[in-house]
Amino acid sequence: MAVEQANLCTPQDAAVVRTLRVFRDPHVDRELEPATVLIIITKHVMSSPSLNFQTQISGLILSLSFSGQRNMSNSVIEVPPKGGFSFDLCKRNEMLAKKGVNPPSFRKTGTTIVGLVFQDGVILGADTRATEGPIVCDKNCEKIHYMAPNIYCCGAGTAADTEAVTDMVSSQLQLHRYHTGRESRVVTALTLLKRHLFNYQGHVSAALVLGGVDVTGPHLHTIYPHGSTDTLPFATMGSGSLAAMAVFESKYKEGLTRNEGIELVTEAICSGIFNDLGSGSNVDVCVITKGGKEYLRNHLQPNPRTYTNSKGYSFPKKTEVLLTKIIPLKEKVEIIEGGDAMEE
Amino acid sequence: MPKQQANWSPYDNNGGSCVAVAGADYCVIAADTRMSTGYIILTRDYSKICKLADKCVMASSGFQADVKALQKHLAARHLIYQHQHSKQMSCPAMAQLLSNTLYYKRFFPYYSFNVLGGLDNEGKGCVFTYDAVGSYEKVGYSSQGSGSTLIMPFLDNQLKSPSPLLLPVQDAVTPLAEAEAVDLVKTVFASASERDIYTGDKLEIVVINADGIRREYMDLRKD
Repeated sequence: MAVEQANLCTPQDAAVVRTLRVFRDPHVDRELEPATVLIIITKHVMSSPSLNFQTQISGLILSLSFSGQRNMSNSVIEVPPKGGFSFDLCKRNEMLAKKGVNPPSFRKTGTTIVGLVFQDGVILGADTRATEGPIVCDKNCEKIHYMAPNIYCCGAGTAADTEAVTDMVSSQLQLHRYHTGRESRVVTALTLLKRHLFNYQGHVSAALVLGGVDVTGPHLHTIYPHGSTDTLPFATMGSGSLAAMAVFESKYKEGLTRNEGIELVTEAICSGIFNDLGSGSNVDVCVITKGGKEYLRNHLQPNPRTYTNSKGYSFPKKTEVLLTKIIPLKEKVEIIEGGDAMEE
Repeated sequence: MPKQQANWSPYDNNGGSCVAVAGADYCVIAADTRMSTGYIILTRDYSKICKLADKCVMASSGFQADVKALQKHLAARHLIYQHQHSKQMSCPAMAQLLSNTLYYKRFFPYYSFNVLGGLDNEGKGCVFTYDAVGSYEKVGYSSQGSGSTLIMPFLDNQLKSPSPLLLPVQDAVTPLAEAEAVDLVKTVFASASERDIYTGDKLEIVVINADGIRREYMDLRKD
């Protein structure tokens, strides 16, 4: 390591270098990490009363060079701020994007998800299409996630994010139930989710419709990726939310019965399925009441396959053999009879 | 303020897929009828197939405004040809005309991905496939558009002629009967609309043979 070759301008710098030498383990031939050097230098700077010393240390940093692949940049390196958010990786991503290295694309669910409050509880609905750009990657995925026996959550946005965040909060709710000995409340799930999403400043791309019935009554909330929430009698999220909301705004009224509610939810999801390209396939419905829940998976399947050839297709091997050449790898070994040596 | 870049584009993609298959004495050209932009469906009932001459039909996907302009241009040129030569343009002649028209706008292209299908002068089926700037090739079958990545491998598997390295050299035109080819096209679109969000609604099939031109329709997934 080239610390020894550093420009020693003052006796104080020499003191720093001596400290650095001490830190180097003589028995292990290993380079000191740049970070370690920084910490040592900074400690010296902090403990020194004179300003001059600080500027000289900057000079020392500038002239330090490390062997191997690591190169110190020419600017003065700051110690990372204590606490708060660190967006260093965001800068790195921007730099990489400029060079043409794009991050891998996420599997988004496109999606139409809805929820409404009816006279006995809440009903949640979702479509079942998951897309990767313009291609459908899952024709029948599940978007209504379990949170608690009395709480369910629909998720739109990046599939990995909605799954991970709902699984995590579901576990936290279960632990909380063991701790308190009571049924989970919807506001608890709401707070846990919104705190997590806000913490990640919108980078966890999960837009959720949370619904459930607890001791305080039926509740329905929407949660946005940045962490804001709304409490509503009816809600829609996802790319098909406008199509679904158009249906809700025309036909919703308070005090719907169970069958009316299911019919309205189904109609709203169908509107999303047929008018939004990001949503499709089947309708999932989940009815939650004080008595319990009813998960109606594939409640409606309005998109069967349109054409199947009765004869079917065969897929014969089409690669033609142009030339066959066999090269033996090893010469065949001759086995000699009468090998009784092992028996003695 | 970071450097700003222009964010208006003169192009848009209206989605959709087209397919053409050539046979010994017929040609099948098919395209779906969905026109979309982004995640919105503009209409479920838009024909992407245009008859350019008696025995020559073109299907185009991409930016439909450019497609419409291209069709008008070709129709006008065909009319002039008819006045000058007292006959209809043959399919290979139209193929060359389309290529030249597309290359003429090499530096502000027609955002149009075309397949041309028809019967040549001997009555045998022929299909020509194009890119956006006019590079073309006579082939036995082809697909273009948003679903082409899903459709082409299946057509390659079912219709691809054996390697040209094998002798005697075989023709790219498929030996399938007309009904089988139409069946194949229907299956291919039903499968493509399962996985491609831009393909669906209705399938329009045009069949050209010695008797003339016939059109038929089939329903596809509407989601």
